Amino acid sequence: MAFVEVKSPPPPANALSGAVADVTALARGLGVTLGYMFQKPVTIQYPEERPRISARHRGRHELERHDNGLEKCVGCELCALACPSKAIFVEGAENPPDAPVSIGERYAKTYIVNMIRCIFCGFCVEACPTEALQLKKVFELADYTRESMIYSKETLLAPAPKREATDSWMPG
Amino acid sequence: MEFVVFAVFAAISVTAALFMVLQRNAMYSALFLVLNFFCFAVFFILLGAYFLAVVQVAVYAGAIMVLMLFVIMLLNVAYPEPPDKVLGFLRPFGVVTAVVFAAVLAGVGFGSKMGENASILPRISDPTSGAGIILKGVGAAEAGHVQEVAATLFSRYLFPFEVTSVLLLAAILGASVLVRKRTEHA
Amino acid sequence: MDGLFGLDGATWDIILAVITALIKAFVIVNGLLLAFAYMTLTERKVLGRMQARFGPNRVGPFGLLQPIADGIKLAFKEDVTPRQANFWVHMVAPMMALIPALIIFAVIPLGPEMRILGQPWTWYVAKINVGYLYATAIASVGVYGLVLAGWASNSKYALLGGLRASAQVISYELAQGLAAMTALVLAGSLNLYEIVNQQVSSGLPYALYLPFGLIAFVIYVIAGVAETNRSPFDMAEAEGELGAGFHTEYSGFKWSMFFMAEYVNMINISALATVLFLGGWWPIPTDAPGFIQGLGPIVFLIKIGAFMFMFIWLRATFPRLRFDRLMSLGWKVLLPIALVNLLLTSAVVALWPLGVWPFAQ
Repeated sequence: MAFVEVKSPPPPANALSGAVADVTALARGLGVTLGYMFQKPVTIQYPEERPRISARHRGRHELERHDNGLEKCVGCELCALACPSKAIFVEGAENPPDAPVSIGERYAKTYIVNMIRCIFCGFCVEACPTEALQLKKVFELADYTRESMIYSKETLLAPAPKREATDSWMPG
Repeated sequence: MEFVVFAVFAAISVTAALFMVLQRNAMYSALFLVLNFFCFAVFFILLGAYFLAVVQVAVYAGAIMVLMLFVIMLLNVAYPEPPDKVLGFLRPFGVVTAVVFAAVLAGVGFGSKMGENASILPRISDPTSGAGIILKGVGAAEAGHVQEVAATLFSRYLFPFEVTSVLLLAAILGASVLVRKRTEHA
Repeated sequence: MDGLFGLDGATWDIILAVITALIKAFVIVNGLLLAFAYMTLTERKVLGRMQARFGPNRVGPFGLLQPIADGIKLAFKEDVTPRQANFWVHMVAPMMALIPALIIFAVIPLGPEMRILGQPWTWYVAKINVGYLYATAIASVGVYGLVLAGWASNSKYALLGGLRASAQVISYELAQGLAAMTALVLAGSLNLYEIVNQQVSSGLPYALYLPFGLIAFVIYVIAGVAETNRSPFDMAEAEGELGAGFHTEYSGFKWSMFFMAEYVNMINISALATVLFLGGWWPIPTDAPGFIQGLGPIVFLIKIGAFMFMFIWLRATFPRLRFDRLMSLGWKVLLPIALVNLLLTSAVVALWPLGVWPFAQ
């Protein structure tokens, strides 16, 4: 992008030089637009051409898992407390020892994010003590019904890792 | 052929003129006057006076009536007071004027039938007739030519032309003096 | 064809001439509307590129079907007449804007008179001695559409737009007329075909008659942009202040008629400027062999296209003038310059030694 440096011109000495300066300014303006015409448009032709998303983009929520498939979320509800628009609802429960869901004593039995309310501020991510909640790069969140905008835990949970969890890594 | 065109446009012209007078809405009156001007342009074309026809449209329809509309819109006089209240005392004068005007028209029409040269209105499709009072004396073949109009205007009719321009200049000056803001510094 | 249906040759010639004129008029009107349609696409494309974006490129290859889609959309849109509007004037106003725009082109000579297959052929509908005056007269009538639309809509935005339009068009008509008079004085004729022919035969378009022709040309173009209510002189529809100006209360097909009128007027102004100052089909000689003569209309259309690009370019570059600045530009800058320019041109033409000014007469 070539930006033109704008200098304020000195006051004209007389009417003629003032007129000349005005016409020069107009011509320079025309030159700018003509110059842009021969530049590559900055438009991203979206459906075919994907935008480059910043690494720190705050998009769709995702509940992360450990490598062994257990959920990182321990149901502490700090995210729900941090949320300024009250978009998150978490209901914790005791983690059953025989079939653990998370690595902690508790896990999130219900985890709901209301995407209509969410303002993508990222406070929930900052509040999360276990780095379970992440805002990903996915930005295509439009849908047809309001109900479908309320994301349940199943929607939010990252897919289970393909490889089997190893026993040696399992806690306790 | 020419007569058919003339008859059609004469009918339109008279109707438009009547509507112009009879309309209570000033905007409609102005629009019917514009229609009337266009009919006049057609008459000028029929007389071979293309220049006058075009000037008729450009000056009267294109400039003066636009300014009239401008004034009507600015003053918002679309529905003025009924004329009975405003101009009631003028009614006798109006009747007298109408009678006199009708008499003049009838005289002209009658005269043009009686005498060869008595007419001040040129006969349609008469190749030797002029294109109206201004161009009386200029043949129809030349009447459409700008050069002829200019030559006539700036030689034979130079004095009236200049007097008219002085009159218009006086009017312009008067208008500017009237609307000028009186400031102490100026 | 003598004796056919009992009509003599002269009558047949008249009938043939009428039919030819009708066909030409049909082609010109439809050509203008087609040019309008694709002008909208071109404008959006060029504006887009000047603003570092693409412009419409979804409907058809390169967006080439976009004007058709727009036309279908506009034709099927609901045509709203406000309840408080004056119904008849509201309906007539778009027609009064569009019809003058379409009939001006009748006198534009697109190319030299020539013979095709031995038959005489002309690239105009009518060659009249007062061609230029005809064009200006009809153009000045076109402002009625804007004024009446503003008045009939019964809306303050539309009314202000209409008032601005009438004041602006009348003001710039003066400067434009005086600038055009410079070319007319140089040509010594009002016949557009003659004007072009003199420039072609002298080999120099009037815009290159330094300095008078060039000054007149520049003034003509500036006033022409103002006449067509185009940016940066689009006060009549200043969307920031007046909604959409005189056509605020219009929708559907009536609105698109205003749209057409604006673009066709741009084409007309371009064509007139080409005739008056750029020498029409110059540098194609008028009496060239047939196939070279056939290039005349192409050259003419290229010049019109250059003007149209300029219209878009100006719109992409300049901000809108304030209304009082617009008026003072017209009355205090362009009009005096055009007047003095015309006076000096006339003096030169008249006082050229022994009247041997090589270009007039």
